[in-house]
Amino acid sequence: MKDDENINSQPFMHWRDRFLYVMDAVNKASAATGEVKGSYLNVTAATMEDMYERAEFARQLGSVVVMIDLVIGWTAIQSMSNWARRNDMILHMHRAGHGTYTRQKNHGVSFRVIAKWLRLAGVDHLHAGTAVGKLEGDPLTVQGYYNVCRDSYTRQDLPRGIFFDQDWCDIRKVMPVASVHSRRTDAPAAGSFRGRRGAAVRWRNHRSPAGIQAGAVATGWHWKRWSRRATRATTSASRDRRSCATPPWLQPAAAGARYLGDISSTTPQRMLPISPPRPRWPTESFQGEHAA
Amino acid sequence: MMTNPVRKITQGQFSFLPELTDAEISLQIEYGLRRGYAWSIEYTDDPHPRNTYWEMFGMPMFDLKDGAGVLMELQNCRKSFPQHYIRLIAFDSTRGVESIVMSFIVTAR
Repeated sequence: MKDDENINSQPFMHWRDRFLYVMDAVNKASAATGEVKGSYLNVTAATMEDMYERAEFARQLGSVVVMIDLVIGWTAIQSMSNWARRNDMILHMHRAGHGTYTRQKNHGVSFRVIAKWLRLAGVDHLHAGTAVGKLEGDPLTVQGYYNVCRDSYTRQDLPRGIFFDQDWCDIRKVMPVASVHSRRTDAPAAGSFRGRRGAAVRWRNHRSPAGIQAGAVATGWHWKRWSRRATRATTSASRDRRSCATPPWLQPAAAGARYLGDISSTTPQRMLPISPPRPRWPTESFQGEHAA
Repeated sequence: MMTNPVRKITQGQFSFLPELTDAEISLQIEYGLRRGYAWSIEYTDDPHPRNTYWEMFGMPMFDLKDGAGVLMELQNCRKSFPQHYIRLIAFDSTRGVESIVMSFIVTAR
């Protein structure tokens, strides 16, 4: 989950309260679903010391990820990258402020260049937007950002704005992330879809749990279908049109019949015991992991 | 659990879909082998999301290029651990990736 808003007013946004409440919700969600959940806690602040303090607080609360806005500047971005490496945290790069470089078309800097810099700076995620442009940018340009983030070796690709070959050597890859409405058809290429399958699609609609679930289901179908087609071309047209709405086997009514009724039915389904073991809440073990 | 009414473990790929059949598992295995991944099998009785390290069922099959062999190992694992959670994971050794790129839970039966 991403708090996809810029940090504007520092006095107004009460970062400590926000972190506490958000982590409360993250822990509840994790306990309810049995999945690792995270929320990007935005540590953007006026000074490096403030950011370290907030990031440290997020770490102590058990968050797995923090985010920073582009406006903190390149030196600070690299310092936060180093902090994230030292503390085993994921660093999400929010592109707030990129308009100051990219908005003006007759001068300025393309976001593709910023993406390269950010990869060199060592961030883990980059908010690169969807390939079907949300605000601006044509699909090919956005695919250029994605390739710059994901490639080991970028080849010259003029339609996507890549003018030269570039060998990335061992520079770590960056996962491009979108915040809203990434649809099945958005995946521009195999590599970037692979990077996004756990991420972007979960944010299909970050205001609606149903949208998130539908996104997860759609991703599942898409991957299954796509990998199968890559293996052998047996995809039928009907499978292509599979619905992305909440499917019958995830609806509670069907669940009663199919999962909790006749356990010896012919369709073997993995299930937890009827009274599922209470998830061990990551208190001792999780803090232990981070103990220096 | 309100948000997971069917109590299905939703971790990894395909976890929001119906269970994969053996034929579908083979397709995924073939797909991975074609991309040069190394398959391995892990099991656990504790699917807590923080349980990153499941028990290995044998060594990762780095040199195994035959999908039938992977499926055979899976059947062995199912026989040995009928009550456990079993997952198939694929490792991509490409320089710069060098990590698990596929992972999905399969039925024990």
